[in-house]
Amino acid sequence: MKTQSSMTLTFGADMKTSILLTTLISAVLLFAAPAASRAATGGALSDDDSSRLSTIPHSPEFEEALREAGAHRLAVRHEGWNETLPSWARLKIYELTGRTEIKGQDPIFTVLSIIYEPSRWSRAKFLPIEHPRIAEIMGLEGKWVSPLDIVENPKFMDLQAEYDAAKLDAEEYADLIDLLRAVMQAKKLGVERDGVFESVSTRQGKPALDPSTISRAARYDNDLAGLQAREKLLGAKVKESKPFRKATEMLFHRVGLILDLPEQFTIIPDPGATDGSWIAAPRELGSRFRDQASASPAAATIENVALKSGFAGPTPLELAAADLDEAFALAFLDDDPSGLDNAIDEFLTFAAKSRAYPSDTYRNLLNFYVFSHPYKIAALLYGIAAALFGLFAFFKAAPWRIAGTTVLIVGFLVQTAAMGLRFYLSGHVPVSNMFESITFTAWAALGVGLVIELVKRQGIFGLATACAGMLALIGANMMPLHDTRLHPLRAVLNSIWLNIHVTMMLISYGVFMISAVFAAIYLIKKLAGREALFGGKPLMTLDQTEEFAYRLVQLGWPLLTVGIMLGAVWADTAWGRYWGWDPKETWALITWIVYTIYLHSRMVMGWKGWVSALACLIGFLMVMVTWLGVSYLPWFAGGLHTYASPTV
Amino acid sequence: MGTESNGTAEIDAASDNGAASQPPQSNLDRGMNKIWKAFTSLKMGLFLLSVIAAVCVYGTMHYAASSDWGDNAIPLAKARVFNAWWFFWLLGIFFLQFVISTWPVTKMSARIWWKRDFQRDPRFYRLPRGRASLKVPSGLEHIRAVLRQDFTRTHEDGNAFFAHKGLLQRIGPTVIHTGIVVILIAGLVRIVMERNGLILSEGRFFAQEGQTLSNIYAPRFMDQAVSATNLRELSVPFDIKVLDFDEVLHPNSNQPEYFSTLLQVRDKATGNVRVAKLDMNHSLRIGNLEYHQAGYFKIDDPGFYRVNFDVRDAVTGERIAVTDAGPGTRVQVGDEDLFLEVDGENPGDSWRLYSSATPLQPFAEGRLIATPRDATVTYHVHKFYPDFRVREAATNENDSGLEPFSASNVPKNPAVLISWNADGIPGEAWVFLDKQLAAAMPEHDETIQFVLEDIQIPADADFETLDWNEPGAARFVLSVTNRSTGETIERDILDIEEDGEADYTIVPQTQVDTGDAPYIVAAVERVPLYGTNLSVVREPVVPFYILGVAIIAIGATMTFMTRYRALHGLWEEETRTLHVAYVPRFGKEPDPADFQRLIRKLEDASNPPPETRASSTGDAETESAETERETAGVA
Repeated sequence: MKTQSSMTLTFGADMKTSILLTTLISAVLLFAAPAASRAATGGALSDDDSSRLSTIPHSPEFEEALREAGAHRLAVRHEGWNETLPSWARLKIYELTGRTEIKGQDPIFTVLSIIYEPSRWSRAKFLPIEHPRIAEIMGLEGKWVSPLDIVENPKFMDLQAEYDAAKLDAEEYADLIDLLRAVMQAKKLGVERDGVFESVSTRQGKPALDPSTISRAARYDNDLAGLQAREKLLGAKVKESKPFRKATEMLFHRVGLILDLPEQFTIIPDPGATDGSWIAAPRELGSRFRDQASASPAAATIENVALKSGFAGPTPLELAAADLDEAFALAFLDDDPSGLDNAIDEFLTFAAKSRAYPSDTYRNLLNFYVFSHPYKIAALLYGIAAALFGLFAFFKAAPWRIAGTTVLIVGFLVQTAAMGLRFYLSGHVPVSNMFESITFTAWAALGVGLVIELVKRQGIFGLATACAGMLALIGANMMPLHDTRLHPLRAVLNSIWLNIHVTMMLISYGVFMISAVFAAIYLIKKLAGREALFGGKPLMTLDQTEEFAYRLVQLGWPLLTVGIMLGAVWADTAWGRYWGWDPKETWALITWIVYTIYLHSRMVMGWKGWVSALACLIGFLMVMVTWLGVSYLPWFAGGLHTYASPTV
Repeated sequence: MGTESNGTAEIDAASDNGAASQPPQSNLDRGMNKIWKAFTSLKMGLFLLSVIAAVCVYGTMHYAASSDWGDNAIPLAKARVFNAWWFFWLLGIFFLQFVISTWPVTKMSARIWWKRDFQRDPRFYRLPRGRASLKVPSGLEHIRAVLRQDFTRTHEDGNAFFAHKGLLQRIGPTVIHTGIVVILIAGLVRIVMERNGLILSEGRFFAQEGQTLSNIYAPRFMDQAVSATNLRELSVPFDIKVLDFDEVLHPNSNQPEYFSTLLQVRDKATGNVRVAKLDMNHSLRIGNLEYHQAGYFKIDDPGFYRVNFDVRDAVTGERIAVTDAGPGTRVQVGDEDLFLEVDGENPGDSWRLYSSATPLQPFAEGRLIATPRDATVTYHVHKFYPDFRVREAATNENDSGLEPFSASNVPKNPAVLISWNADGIPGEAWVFLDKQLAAAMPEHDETIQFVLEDIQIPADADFETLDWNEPGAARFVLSVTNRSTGETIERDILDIEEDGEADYTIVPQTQVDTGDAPYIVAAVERVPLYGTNLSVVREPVVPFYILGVAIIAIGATMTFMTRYRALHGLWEEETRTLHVAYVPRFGKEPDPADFQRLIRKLEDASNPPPETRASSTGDAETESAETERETAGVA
């Protein structure tokens, strides 16, 4: 009796711990997720330094006036994509500062202010110094500096010189590595050496390396030790200076960007271009033609001026853009935005006539998509759902499960809508980069898990799915802003096979993700020696947990098989061969083999329990290597799936 | 890969108290049997698969994905691992193991049509699941009819019955295995063929626009990347001319949206000519080789260029497309079935339009009209002569035998030598401050003219010591005039060697009578010349891979879309009772609903309705209640 009591007490303590942990984890997930993603994607510059912030031009009334004038309705062409002015401005602020806004300002105001009144920003401290050495060389204090702090700094040339020296080191190191690689290749491949690499007798009498590599290697073979010592020395130096080089390059880029912003503010389709490119507002055009118009009262309107200006004259849209440009310039000069609404309306009236200008619907939806942060909302909802399912696991009261399911469904619908919107705006299935790939996989996992939860109503499916979805979306939201933006499709991805092969593979990854969660739950339970992690009665027995991991692999494996086969067909049309032993292809095959072994060992040989669960987890580890590892792990280099430059 | 079990095994297991005595085996035989059993087991198959996976990891990590090998990584991985003999033998062993271990299933599948599995042991019909006994007072005729109607194959032997259906499910796994075998054989054959040079997997075709080639390149050494030093030439029986390379960038970016190559292929043997296009996602077959768009290159040399031609409808003036071409090459106009051929780029030069239906006979021709086109000029002051004079050259460096020099350092007759590049064409020009002298000088270019308006020097500059050609010493006020319009297009104040740039529009003075041609064609601008890089392959085993995949797909459909079921029956004449056992494959439980349906059919066939005693899977209560209800209803 005493023993039982103490056991109860122990269990009670565990229960309390579980409650605390669940609450703590839920709280962390709920509050830390948006904060983490906000920090990763930028967030505003903090108001920690009031003296610095006082240098930054600020005008809430002007911001409000810009909003009211409808500046957010303008479109800007950026890196092959139609952005809206707010989304473009946010990207540019991010590029300039590493944050999505400055001093809580509307990015539209910030960017237009930099373009039209650059002198006010010349002493504004908004450029980050990302390496202490830069500040040390230039004698700067604090993390933030102004453009003039850089370009008028007497030590600027010293910074340039140190950067050049570091760059030269890096280039020399790259050459050295190349050379060393040649020497090592020659050695590894068994090229015979008679003092130098001149006698080549590898297999079948063929040289294993081209003669130039061998001759390069030969020159240095005698001093291989010296070469390696130099590589070690220089390698350490280059590694140490890498953050400095990167930070300096970034700083140079940012200063250049400030000067280049007016040119990048491409707001109209170039009427003379045959390639669909856009141009910035022709600045001089406005006043020149206005002069003509005033000289000839009959041609007082923009359209008449355009008509009279002859074959090569400006189009009405160009003139309207020039007027808009002038209106912006005057508004900032006079600090009077009152005329902007007319200029924007007039410009948009002409822009609407251009087929190349994005429609109102597109611009409104793009603004809605970018600024409603649907993936963050979905991640938050999945977090809440996970917490509710956690409470259900503990209390076993159906309302918690129903509430969790409801929130999960809402989160799933939000994500589905976000993906649908992205599909509509981008014109392709959102699976063409890592951000889209992660969100799509999470969506597939959510879909499968949600359907099973709705059928089985056991709570555990909802819990596993919500956790997987939340973690995946937090990861996606933490990616840099430039990786999450809508982007034009790479040429080689411009194929129907993108929709078929990639979606098939990602759906299988999603299914494997859920199966791995089940396998992990099984192993955790097994290691803990308990059927239930929370509360008394488990949501699912140990055997059922492992069984479901297996059932999900049974679902994912055919998808993976078909996905690989379809990938081979695409590879044939794109690269001229079905199979080329590219790292991504080979790892997909390895993944397939691991799951094949898992399925056969369990199905035919009856291997169940922790061995099977472990195999399932190993399978998912292979999925992660195939999916993310080949692109990001340092041991992997190159391969066709990196979609490098098409130029050979 | 499993063994068949239809319930007999359960009886056997129950009744077999000892195996029948067999002749004693020698240790060697026993050992060999053990080895054979181990080799043909599923475990061995999975072990071999694990080894293959491990080899794949090694091949990727050590070669294909390793930065140690640079561009040679994947060729090396193939040469050293994936096309190596030892990998061939590994795959070969797996192939053998696979065939042998799946042989029992294959044999069973092959004999399934003729299978007769009569069960005469009454105990078999007393096992708990899928069993029933029916009273059939009217005899077996109707029962036989039901069986023939409901099952694919029905057999009778004395008082025992055997019927089965869904045979495709039993054959499906063998079909899948056959597909895998075909793929494995194709893989093995491919390794052998590639090692013997019978497969071309890394062929290349490089040519620039307008170039004709009748050869391709292949690597000399398969363990190295294709490079300038690792190529051998192979001739092909075709003359392949690159008519056009088309690169479409996403506007305002350097990222290509689409790229394609238009080829004219002439069969050397027959003389037949065809024009075909391939792009990054669509290949082209020429003879027994497959050409794929692998990449492209831009030729950065102003001396080599193409010209963009604007093709419009003569009646409506509507633009059909702008396409680049060079003299004598035929290019496609947009996506239309129109192919343009031009003789030059100047107004008045001839053009011809063909369609794919009339590749040898133009259906329209005319002359290029003159249209305004955009151009750019870049320039800088190369040298300044404050007091310009000409004298006899000390050396014969130029044809005139004269050389410029400055008689003094005082700007009495200032002149500058300007280096420029107008619309891709480089040149030099002498420009004088003296208006009369300037007017007497030849024109600088057919499109632009430079004017030296002023020279600025520091107020305290001393002419005697001033080095005019030192950066920062003087600034030159230059203007650039568009000769076709007479407008000043740019006014710059430049330091020596400092670059200036001006964009302008050239309005040609020549007018061309377009006649009654249905199209108007005009040269618009010069664009860079491109080269195309095609990969060329010959993969004779690919059809076998496709065949293997197709067979697997068929096998999977057979396995997963059909359901095998067998019915065993035993007739007791004395009691006029038919005992039936309804057994799916692998000793699995029959579907209760399916079993009930069958029993009802058999009951209906027994006229008058017999009393039944049934027991089926799982839900025994429901089942018996249902049978009773059925009987009561009939009564």
